[in-house]
Parts: sequence; structure tokens; C-alpha cells
Amino acid sequence: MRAEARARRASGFAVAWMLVLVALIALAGGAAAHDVLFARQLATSRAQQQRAFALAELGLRAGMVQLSAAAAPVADTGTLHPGTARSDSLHVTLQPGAVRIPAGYSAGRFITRDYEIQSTGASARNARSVLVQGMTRLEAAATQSP
Amino acid sequence: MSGPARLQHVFAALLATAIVAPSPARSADSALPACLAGSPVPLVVMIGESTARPALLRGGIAPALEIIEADNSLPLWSASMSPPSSQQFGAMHAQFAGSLLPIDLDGDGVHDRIYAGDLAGRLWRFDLHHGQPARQWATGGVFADLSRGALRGFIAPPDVSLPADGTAGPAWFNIAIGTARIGAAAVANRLYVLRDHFPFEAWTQPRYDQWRPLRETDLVPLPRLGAVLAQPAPDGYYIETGAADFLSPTLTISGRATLALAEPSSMTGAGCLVAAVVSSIDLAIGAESPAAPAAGAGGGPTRLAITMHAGEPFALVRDGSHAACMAGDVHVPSCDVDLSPRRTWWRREDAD
Repeated sequence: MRAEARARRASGFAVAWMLVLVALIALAGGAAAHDVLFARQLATSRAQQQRAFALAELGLRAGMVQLSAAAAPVADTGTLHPGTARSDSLHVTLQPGAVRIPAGYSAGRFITRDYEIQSTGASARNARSVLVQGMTRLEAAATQSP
Repeated sequence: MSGPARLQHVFAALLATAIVAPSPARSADSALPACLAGSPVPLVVMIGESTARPALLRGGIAPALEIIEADNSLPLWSASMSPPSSQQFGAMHAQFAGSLLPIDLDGDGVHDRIYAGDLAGRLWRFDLHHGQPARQWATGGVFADLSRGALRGFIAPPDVSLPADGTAGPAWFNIAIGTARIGAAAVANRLYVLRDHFPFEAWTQPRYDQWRPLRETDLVPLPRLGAVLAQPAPDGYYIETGAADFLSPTLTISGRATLALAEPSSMTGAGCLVAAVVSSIDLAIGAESPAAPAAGAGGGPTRLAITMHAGEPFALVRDGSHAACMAGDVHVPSCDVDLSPRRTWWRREDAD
């Protein structure tokens, strides 16, 4: 009678242990799944942020090319959608700044003008990167025409 | 009329009109051939008002200097030795031709300073006071009196530049200006490189009146083109360049001034074509540098022999971010300009 009762208690204890074990495994699995999900989200977000940064850099280069090509650029702004993804865009603003007499060059024929190129790259999931590049350039003075 | 005879006639006319007291009825255009009289120089002024106005500056006899509206040629300001000009300057007894250079010192689009050379070999400096009425608009005086009685004066505009090396101390303007004969006889011309140690300082009229104009004795002489300064030249130096005239302004690129020495006896035709030799000097020490790449290794300074219109400045022909320097149809590599933009600073605004 006592032996039978002892066997029944042992069997109940094993079931409890198994349930605890299953719960622990489920928890660990859930945590791992959460980690994986979180890491994936992080990686995706990081990739989108890097994409936005690259787009912003592309915008800076576009602004510099525009500055190199134009004789006397005025303030300009524009938005581009490079690539196929509609979520990818870059917004470039070219802003002329201070003017001064350049050292070593004929005053009245040349000026030095500062520029600020602001480029905003945007990608999916609201990823956004803003880069600002200061530039300076030798230009013909307004009354002359190189 | 042959070339030399025509030139003699031209310079005789110059001589007759340049030094004598002004005649109110005459202008510069009546005395000089167009190529030597110089074109009106565009500038932006604020005379008696608070709005900037495009205008033209021109030299003459009476008035010696005049500013007119660019659109309708209405007179805005004038200066001469005696009335009825807007302002009178007692020493302004000589004619101005094309030796005029307005400068915008602060980059606000309105010109603040005028350097002008007269036919008596004097360099004038004027500070322009925006918004003042015409009778008070300019303060000025003779900055350098380099005549010494010789019949040479300034026809080409001055070339003003800051030192190329970006010295840490107080800056100055290098003012490169060459002379031309004012008369039939040959003269020993000079290229002056003067130093204005107050480049961004606007002087009052009493300050101008107290200023002792620079003279040749204040400058270090260099006996020929190609000589190099062997001693400090705080007020500047001059190079004796012989009989050839400076009819065109020098052009300074990276601290080197490219210049054209015109041979006056070669001037022909109504187009004022003249033979010239193009060279280049380092403004800091006067050393000559090649105007064009030397042929072969170890070649010395190379000068270019060209034909150009008298008074014609070096032109810059832009091609992308590079500008080729041209004297007439001839490419002068020494004054080519790199117009590429350069990066100065960078920041990322979305970073924490």
C-alpha cells in the first residue's frame, strides 16, 4: 500500500518536471526567436540607414558636380529618386555663401565664394541621413567674363 | 600714315592733352584712340541713396573721373580739379585714360574702392562711402607719385591682389601697374609693384591729405625683367622694362602676374594691333617664371611673342572647371586658372 503510494508520487513529480522543462524550452525558444527577430529588425534598419547615408553622399557628389560645371551657380534645390525603389530619394540644396577677395588673384577679376551643399538621403522605414559639405570656389567677378 | 608716324601722332596728341590744365569741353575719347582711352568700367554704386545701382566709371579730362548710370548714361558723380564736378581734388590736373579699377572689398556686391592711374604717372586711391551724396561720396588722393618728370603715365588698369601665401600678419595689397610713354620720344618704362598696407581700411579725407604719396625712392629698383629682389621691399619695388609699353593690365594668378610688354613702334591700323612679349613674374620677389612651358629640360624662363590689340586684357576662356588664359588668339599657360571647387568642412546633421 505504501509502496504503491510512493510510486504514484514519483510519477506526479516527473510530470511536473517535464512540464517545467517544456516551459523552459519554450521560453528559451521564444527568447531566441525574439532575438532573431530583433536582430533582423536591427540589421534591416541599419541597412536602410546605410542606404540613406549612401544616398546623402550621392547627393553631395551631385551637388559638387553641379558646382564644378556651372560658371556662376545660384541657389538651387532638387529631389532625385535614384534606383528602382520608390522609397529611396535624395534631396540636395546648393546655397551660395560669403564672397571675398581671393589671396593671390587679381581683385576685380576674381572672387572666392563659399558654398554649402546640404544633402538629405531617405530610404525605407523612415531612414534619413543629412550631410552638409562646405565648399569654396574661385569665380570670375560679376563684371568680368572668363 | 606709317605705323611709327601714326604712333608719334597719337602720343603727341596724348602729350598735348594729358598734362596741361583741363579744358571743359573735351573728353578722353577726343584725345585718345579708342584702344588706349579704355572702355568705361562697370561697377555698382550707392550714391545719395540706399539702393545699389549699376554704373560705369570712365576717365577723361574734364571731368577727370566720371560715373554715369549704366542704363541711361545720366551722370551720378564726377571728380576734377575744379568745379563744376561733384567733388574737387586739388592735385587732379592730369587726365585719366583706361587705368581704372573698382574693387568690392567686402563682397556685398557694391564697390568700395577705386584705384586709378593718371597720365602723369600717379596712382590714385579712392574710398567710396555708400549712400552719401555725390559731393561727399568719395574720399581720395594720390597714393603714389611716380612721375619724376618723365613722359610716362598709366594707360593700363592697375592689377590689385592680396599676397598669395596667406601671411598670418596684416595683409596688404600688391598693386601691379606698368607705365606707357606719353609722347613721341621713347622712355624707360617701369612695372611698379606697390604695397598698400591698409587694404581694407577706408580713409577719411584728412587721412588722405596727410598721406605722403609713395615715390620711386621708397621702392626697391630691379634693373631688368628677370632680376630678383635681394632685400625686403616694404613699400614695393619696380622693374625697369625698357622702351616697351604696358598697354594691357597684368593678370595675377596664384601670386604670379602675367604681363604683356607692347612694342609701340609695331602698332598698325585702326585695330591697334601691336606686337607684344608676354612674361610672368612672381609678385613676392619679382622673379620671372615661364609664360609657357620651356622647350626641353632645363630651359629658362620662356617669353611668348604675340600680336594683340593694344589695351586688350588677358581673356579667360572657361571650359568646365578650368579656364584657359588667352592673349588674343594665343594661349598663355602661365595664367591658366583652376576653378575647381574645394572642400572646406563637413558635418553630419542626423548624428547624435
